[in-house]
Amino acid sequence: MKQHRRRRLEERFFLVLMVFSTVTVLGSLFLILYTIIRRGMPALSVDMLTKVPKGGYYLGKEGGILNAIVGSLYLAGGGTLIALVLSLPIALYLHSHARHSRVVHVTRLALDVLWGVPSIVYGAFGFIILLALGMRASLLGGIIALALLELPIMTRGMDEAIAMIPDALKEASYALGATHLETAVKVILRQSAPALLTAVLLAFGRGIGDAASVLFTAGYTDRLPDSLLSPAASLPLAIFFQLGTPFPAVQQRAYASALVLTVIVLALSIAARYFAKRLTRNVVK
Amino acid sequence: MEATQIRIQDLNVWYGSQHILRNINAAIPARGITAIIGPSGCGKTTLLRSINRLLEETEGMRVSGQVLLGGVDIYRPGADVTAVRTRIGLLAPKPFPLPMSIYENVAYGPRIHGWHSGHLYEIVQRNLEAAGLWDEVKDRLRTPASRLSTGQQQRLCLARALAVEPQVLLCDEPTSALDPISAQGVESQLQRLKQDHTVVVVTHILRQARRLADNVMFMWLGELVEEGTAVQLFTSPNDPRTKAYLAGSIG
Amino acid sequence: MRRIAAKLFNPKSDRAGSDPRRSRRWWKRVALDKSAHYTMRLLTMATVGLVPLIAGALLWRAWPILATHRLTSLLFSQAWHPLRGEFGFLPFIMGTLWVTTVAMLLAVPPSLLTAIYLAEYAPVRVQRLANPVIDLLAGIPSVVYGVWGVLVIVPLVGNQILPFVSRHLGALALFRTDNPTGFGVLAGGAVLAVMIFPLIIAVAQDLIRAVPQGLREASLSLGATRWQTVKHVVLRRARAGVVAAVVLGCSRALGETMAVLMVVGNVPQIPRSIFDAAYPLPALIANNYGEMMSVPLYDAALLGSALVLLLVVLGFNVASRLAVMRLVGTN
Repeated sequence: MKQHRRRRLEERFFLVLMVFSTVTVLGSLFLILYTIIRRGMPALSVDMLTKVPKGGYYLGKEGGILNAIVGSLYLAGGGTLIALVLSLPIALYLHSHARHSRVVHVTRLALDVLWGVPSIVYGAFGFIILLALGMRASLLGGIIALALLELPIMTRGMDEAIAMIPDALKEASYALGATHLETAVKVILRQSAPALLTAVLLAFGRGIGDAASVLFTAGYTDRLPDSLLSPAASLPLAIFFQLGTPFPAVQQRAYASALVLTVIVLALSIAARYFAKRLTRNVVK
Repeated sequence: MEATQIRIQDLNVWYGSQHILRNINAAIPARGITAIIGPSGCGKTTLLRSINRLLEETEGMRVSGQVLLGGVDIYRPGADVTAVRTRIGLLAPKPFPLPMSIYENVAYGPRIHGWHSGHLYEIVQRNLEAAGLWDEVKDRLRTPASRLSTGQQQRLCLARALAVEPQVLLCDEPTSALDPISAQGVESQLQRLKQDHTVVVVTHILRQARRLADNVMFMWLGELVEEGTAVQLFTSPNDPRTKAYLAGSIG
Repeated sequence: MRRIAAKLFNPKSDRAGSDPRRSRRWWKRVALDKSAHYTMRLLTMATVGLVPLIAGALLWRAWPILATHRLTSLLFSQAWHPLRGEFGFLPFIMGTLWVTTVAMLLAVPPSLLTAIYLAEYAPVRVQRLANPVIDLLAGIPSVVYGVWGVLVIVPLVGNQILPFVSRHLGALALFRTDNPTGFGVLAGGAVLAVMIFPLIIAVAQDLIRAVPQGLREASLSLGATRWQTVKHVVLRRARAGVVAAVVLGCSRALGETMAVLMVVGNVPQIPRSIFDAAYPLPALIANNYGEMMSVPLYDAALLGSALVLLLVVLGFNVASRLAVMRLVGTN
């Protein structure tokens, strides 16, 4: 009976510990959101969202972070577009040809490994590309770095989305005499469209939030980007630089900028989840 | 008439909104083999798993009614589910050797109950012998259990279940994953075990039920249609559904 | 079925003139299909080649410093004076190790306990609530974690934990410091820990769920308690997966840049206590990209450290993925 009580106690002890851990983990998210909202809200204003920095902005004078918002949308938008063009064919290839071959295995491993590559390394690699091409930090440079960063995220997401399509559906299409390409476009893409969108949104969210990769490659400017070859500001770097100033008023704006970025990213996350759910409703089983 | 080991009273089971067991009332006598037969999906396995409270491991299952083991309801509030399961062992349709050695598999039960008073090796040997596996594995007790053949694994699972000295042994289609020869081996072990254990076997193979059973329960769409001794039920069933099932015209 | 279709449309098996399908339209379809196939294959191959390409490019740019400095002096020297041409990476390597170690110590126990809770204990309702929240946590940009660290963790460390710990445990070198700011190893580790929670939880949870239900039932039906089942059977079976999850979290921690950079203090020294400031490798790279082209060999040194970072993270990553693949293969 002693043994019996001991193991009941052990069970209790670990259950309490587990619940406590779970609450801590979930609590940390709410603490982060709470902090960002509480500190960011007071400094948030229409000006911040609609104006570019005026002279002396970083000393606490007038202006906003429109340059960073627009820059980030351009950077992440461009990066996502390139990543999309590259990753869709790869994801289709992983499924419509040679599905269980070594190539597929190795590609998945390579994608997983690429996913794990630190974003600062993508930044450094992008920087080397720019040097090799004789270019300076620019919108294009940032787009390239973000495209590389997003590529594995998007491809793996699409890979998993396409994997959910039943084989029988594809085979039905082949049986009708459709080629691989026709099946890919007319059956696979249509069937998995919402989940593909999920992958795209998640990759976009990752791209827009990443600072280390654009640090080297996109530069920073107070103006709106006007060409692919001019530098572009970004939200994460705007936060970083504003926080780095010694002026409380500017630091306040960093909190507000962090709030803007957080809202964008969370909205993307939630939208992505929404589309992922829609998929399970639409799929032919 | 032998003493009743397990009495099931007004047992109802719902899964979500599905009513999968309806008003089961039954008595399972002590010792001997009781076979639960019926077509697939009739609730045989659910009934079996309600006897050692394994049902509640599936979320969404609701159970009402009583299952009396030796006169005590195992579903009473405050009942210790681990004690219930120690007294009622289970043999699953597929062998699931635990991720450890052959020896450790059999020793697992006694160990978690803290019975390791120095004679663990004897316990392991005795139960491997009882399961008819000892001679095949005595020289390699330390090898991982997953290296055994499926038939040997199932007998290992039997030895593992016996090592906690249960009074009742529940067997859920215990030979369905086995080849005919291994199946015969498991069946003959069950025949031997019924001398001092109450064995309940779920099967959809009528011939197996005829070979093994002393008592039979016939289930149909979540209801217990008929129960009785094997002789009575197989030779002169009362219910027309039992008759039809035994004749092969339904199920 | 696919093979039949392929045969039907294989131009070689067609006899000239006899097959009505050999129309122009048909040729166009096949040509399009073939060219799409080769494009896809090319892109896929390029992806596989990307990792070596990145490593190669970094090596190329880092070569000048590797050619002029001995590897041992780069890795084990403390002298960091770029203007004098001295590049000793030891303080930065040690900074990375300190911060990552603290992060792992703080992150692993709660992450694994949470994963076990969600996979083995939590009712479906709780799982449906908790997992999306954890996903959201994973999506928050690292710079936001950094802001949160500056606002919450750094003051907490500086004003609460540091005075308390040094009052009670100040005798231990591990807790002694002359840096009262709160910016340092502990703050960096704590922020990192929160960042890698979701990764470890997600991977560990998946692999714990992959343990066959029959194993749990086998243990439970012997009268084991749930925790005994988890401890002796489930975790034992998922052992490789749990290790993989931890290693993956570790590789993420090693490479994380912005959040750490913002709270870790950035002083090029070898930390002696968890309250000391540190200067991890990624922070070094990010902080000095501006002047690296104006000092000789500086760019080679920084890109070289990016290469070191990449190789270490790759090693961890590949090991962990292979472990997962093997585990999934055996289940």
